[in-house]
Amino acid sequence: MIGVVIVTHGSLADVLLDTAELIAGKQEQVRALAFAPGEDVATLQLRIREAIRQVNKTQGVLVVVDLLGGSPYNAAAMVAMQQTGVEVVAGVNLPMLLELLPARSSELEVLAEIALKGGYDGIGKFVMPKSNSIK
Amino acid sequence: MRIELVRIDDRLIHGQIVMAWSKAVSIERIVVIDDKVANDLIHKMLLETVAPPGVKVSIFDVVQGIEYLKKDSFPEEKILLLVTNPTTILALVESGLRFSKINVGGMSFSAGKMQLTKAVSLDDTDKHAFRELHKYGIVVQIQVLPNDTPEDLMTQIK
Repeated sequence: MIGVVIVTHGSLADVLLDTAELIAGKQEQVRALAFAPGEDVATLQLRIREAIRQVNKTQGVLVVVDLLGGSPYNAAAMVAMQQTGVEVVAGVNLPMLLELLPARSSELEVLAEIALKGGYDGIGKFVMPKSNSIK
Repeated sequence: MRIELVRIDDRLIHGQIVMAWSKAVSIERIVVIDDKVANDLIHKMLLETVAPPGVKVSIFDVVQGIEYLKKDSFPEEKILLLVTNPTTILALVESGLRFSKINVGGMSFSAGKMQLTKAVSLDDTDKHAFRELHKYGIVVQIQVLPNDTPEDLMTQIK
């Protein structure tokens, strides 16, 4: 099974994982990391490396972060450039986690695509039904 | 060039720059000056990919940076000058470059540093550099986000 590390500004990662587990059930090989104000990006990189080591069972690790170009993304991307078997996806949301968590027996590149699609597809706008379709 | 903002932020290009400052201050290029980053190929590659859409990125060491700023090849270009510490700015100022104001946005905490605010911690080298910059009449303000009220840094390290 592919490991997952969720990294966000502040405690969003912890809360997202807690909420995702309410729906997807308790998860193995997943870590949530919070990037605190005033924390050094180099330290964050070390923590990401350590979390990857903890959740990796040879099938690789998907790191999901909150914001493209943010410090969690930058740190994760720098780790991914320096070691194999790590993919990074930005823009984490609940639909993304709910799609990727049960799909972790696939290949790492495939899981990254599933995460992206899950994230996009989970965003939508309520469309008012036409009155004549409500009987 | 028109330097719209001089910022000290050891996270360099990150969420606050991409999502907030680049919208509040009109910029066309981010100029990063840092000896360590300029010699770190991986960090350079990353910075070049994370700039806000339409904003160019140039990364120099201090010597190249001074040369670039003095040459001023694009006089109309609006830039954000980004460094990780005040000692770099002091090197620029001592080379003859002039700035009226410096924004301090993020200097991370580590053991032995004095924590001024959540986002800003200084060691003795930093304090020395700020005091020197102050002698040149440069205003040094802590301001993490565009909507935050700027606080004078110098009054806090007397």
